[in-house]
Amino acid sequence: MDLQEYKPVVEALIFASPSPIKPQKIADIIDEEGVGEKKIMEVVEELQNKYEKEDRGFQIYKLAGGYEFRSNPEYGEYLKKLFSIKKDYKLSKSVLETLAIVAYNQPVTRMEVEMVRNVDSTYVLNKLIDLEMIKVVGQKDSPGRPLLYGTTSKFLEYFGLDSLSDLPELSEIEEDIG
Amino acid sequence: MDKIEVRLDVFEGPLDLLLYLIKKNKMDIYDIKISIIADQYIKYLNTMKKLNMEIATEFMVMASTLMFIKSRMLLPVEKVSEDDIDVENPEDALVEKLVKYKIYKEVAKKFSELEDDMVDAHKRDTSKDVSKYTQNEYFFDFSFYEMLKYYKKLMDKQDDAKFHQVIKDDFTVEEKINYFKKFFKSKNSTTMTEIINRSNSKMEVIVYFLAILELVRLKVLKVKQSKTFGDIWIYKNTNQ
Repeated sequence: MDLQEYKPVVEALIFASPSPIKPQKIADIIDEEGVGEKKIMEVVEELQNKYEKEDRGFQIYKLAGGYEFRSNPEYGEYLKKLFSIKKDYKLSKSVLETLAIVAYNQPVTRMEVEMVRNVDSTYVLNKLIDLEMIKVVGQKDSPGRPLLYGTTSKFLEYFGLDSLSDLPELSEIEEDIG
Repeated sequence: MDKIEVRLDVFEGPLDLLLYLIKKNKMDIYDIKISIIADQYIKYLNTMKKLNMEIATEFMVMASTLMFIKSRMLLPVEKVSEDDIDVENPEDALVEKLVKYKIYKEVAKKFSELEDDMVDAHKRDTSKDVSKYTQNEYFFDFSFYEMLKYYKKLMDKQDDAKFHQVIKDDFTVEEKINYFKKFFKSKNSTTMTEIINRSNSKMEVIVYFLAILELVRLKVLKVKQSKTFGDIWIYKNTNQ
């Protein structure tokens, strides 16, 4: 079958998937010779270009390694009315700051986070766990066996990232400071 | 004295405040005039104190570090021998900390931009997205002073007329000691069970018991128990 014929299949799968669907999973479902992860990615790219050209109300995002439909942010103001959002709720400064430290240093202990911030971070870390942005990923092999924290896929989804390698480069930021 | 300029923002911590002061004085982070910064830092803490704000200990620790560095600069520089090279200069250590912190502060800004990009890209399954984020108590976006205002409002709501009632102790050990002294003038023994029966409350039993212990210590009474959990017999100490 021509790859083009799979376009609606891929579209349907992404549309109905409750969480970001990985290209490998789509390939597994189609289960056809010669249709691998790479081919799926090509198909999705075509879909993305198509939506953009037609200025559709939705887009396909690559989030945490999978594809997901999201409404086109350009029309956010209308959706706000739909959901009765009066004000955008954003993460607070201290939460973002702590999340940044965890994201770049994971797995990381509370003490290590506090070494950077110079502020007690117990509360913020617990908040981040409640928000499912970070989770406990283990215990450090050091005295007291402190908990180690790492980011979740929800974190990637929330910030529109595909993987941790999409995080802004620290070295670039460092240069800006100098 | 110069007018103290108060910036009505909350700082995330001492490093945040230091970075602000460095920026305000248009200094290079790698070339900080510690004495100026230290003075302004302490001035700021004093202002906070005047506003009756609680100052977190981290701020105090940093104040002492700054004073330490400042005092160190007043002393003649010791010749550093090769062996001492790994002894860290507190000023360098501070700069290193500031730079590191600033990097993550910048990252946080980038995160915030990413957040802005995504906030309007809504998921289809809103049960997992919008409702959670909009109703989440953690997503607050108001200033410290607004918070203070709400706090004050809450406190004002508290009914001032409602006083906590302090209940007078009904029983005192002293009173019970006197009771026993009188009791044993006419009798030679009693049991704990009897005392419990005579008491009207748990508190009274406890006070009776304390009085007995005190009298045993003073060798006025003796206590005996034949078996574990058995009744306790209380006698007048006749050896006295």
